Amino acid sequence: MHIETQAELLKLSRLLETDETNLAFLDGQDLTAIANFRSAVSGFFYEQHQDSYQRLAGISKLVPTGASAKLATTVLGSVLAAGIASELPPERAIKLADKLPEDFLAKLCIHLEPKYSRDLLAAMPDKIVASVAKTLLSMGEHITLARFVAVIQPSALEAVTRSIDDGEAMVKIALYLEDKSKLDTVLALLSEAQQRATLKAATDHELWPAVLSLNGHLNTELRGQMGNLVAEQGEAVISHIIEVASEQRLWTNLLQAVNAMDNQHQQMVVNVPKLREAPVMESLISTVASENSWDELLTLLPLLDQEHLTPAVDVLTQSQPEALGQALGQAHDSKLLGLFGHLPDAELPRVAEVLKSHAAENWQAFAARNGDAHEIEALKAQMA
Amino acid sequence: MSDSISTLKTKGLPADALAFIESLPADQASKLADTVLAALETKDARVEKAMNNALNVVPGPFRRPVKKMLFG
Repeated sequence: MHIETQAELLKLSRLLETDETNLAFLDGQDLTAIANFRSAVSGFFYEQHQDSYQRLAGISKLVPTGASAKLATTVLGSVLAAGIASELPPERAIKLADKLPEDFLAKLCIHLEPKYSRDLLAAMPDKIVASVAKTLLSMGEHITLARFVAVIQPSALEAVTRSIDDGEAMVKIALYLEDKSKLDTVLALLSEAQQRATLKAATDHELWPAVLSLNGHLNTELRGQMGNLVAEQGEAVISHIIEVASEQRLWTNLLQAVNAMDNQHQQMVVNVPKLREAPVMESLISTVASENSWDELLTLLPLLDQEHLTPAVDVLTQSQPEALGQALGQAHDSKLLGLFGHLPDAELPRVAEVLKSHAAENWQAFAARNGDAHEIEALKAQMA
Repeated sequence: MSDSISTLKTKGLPADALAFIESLPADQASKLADTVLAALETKDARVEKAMNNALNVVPGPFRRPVKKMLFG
């Protein structure tokens, strides 16, 4: 199951108070549709008691905040208090929050309904947010923290990110973010030490699928920055990441990360021995073909040394010869020219053979568009 | 339509959530509706319990009218 599907089903199972394995049948459904369903059901659950929350909030407004806080902790409990807090004007709720013990406030936050508590969380002072976030972190409440991250003020977000040094928590919070476009903001707030901690956690806690998947949501600059840090982890880690990409078909995310690295790191990553293994190369080409990420792959193929290029050509000419025709139809010409120009003379006969037998039409069109390109002169001669 | 789907419809589950459930194969739709309904009952019971705890601080003779006033 894709890591983001796992995360979404975990969030839904939490709402529905069931084990996520009981919802495994939803694997394959559109992720946005599941998230929308979860949001609608969450609101529906809240609305069943909203009337009572409103009445209790009305009474709470008549009582001094100190007494309200005492009542909340001793009589109402965190479930009712969460509903009531969402119905109070934010300024009143904030005064109340200031008087509640940290652990109670954290439990209350777990029960807040996202849609109805958005204004309240957005208005919370940085000091309270940071303190609650610390408690939630110690409770392992990454899903609740991810909800916080989505709505709190930028200054509060900065305070929260400064206080987190647990790499595993950072990856999980990022994974559970509803709006992944926030990732750029969050990652940019992390120090290099924190960014390195997330990568260490990825290795220590088997979180590479999450990190690879999240990488796809980053802007190119941050992707490159993180990519370079990944490359610095060394061959053993890179080999492990390649295994993960191969098993979970996260190749496109990995290719995007490598493409954003600097050239020196790219050279190192694409020439690790793991990539020469036939099943790995098979998985890479078939994933690229099914996801049409040829441009990401073709940019990197010219960086392969001969030892690595041969297994790639093996797959393209023997086990998946149709892939070359597909690449000709879908990739940018400049990327294809990069590959063809990089082919050693010894590889030209078998590539020419496959082009003739499996991609004649696409090749002709490509050759006609690039008649003057010196990169394909030798290949054209071979095919004549 | 399964009993659970009908019940959720009666209870006011939003149309788009119902549409999602009904877009699934029948056995899955029924399973998901059962799970949503079970969660609703669990949450109702939790809120009810919390409300009763809150009402316990109200002197006995006033409990019923206060409950009616607050929770309908």
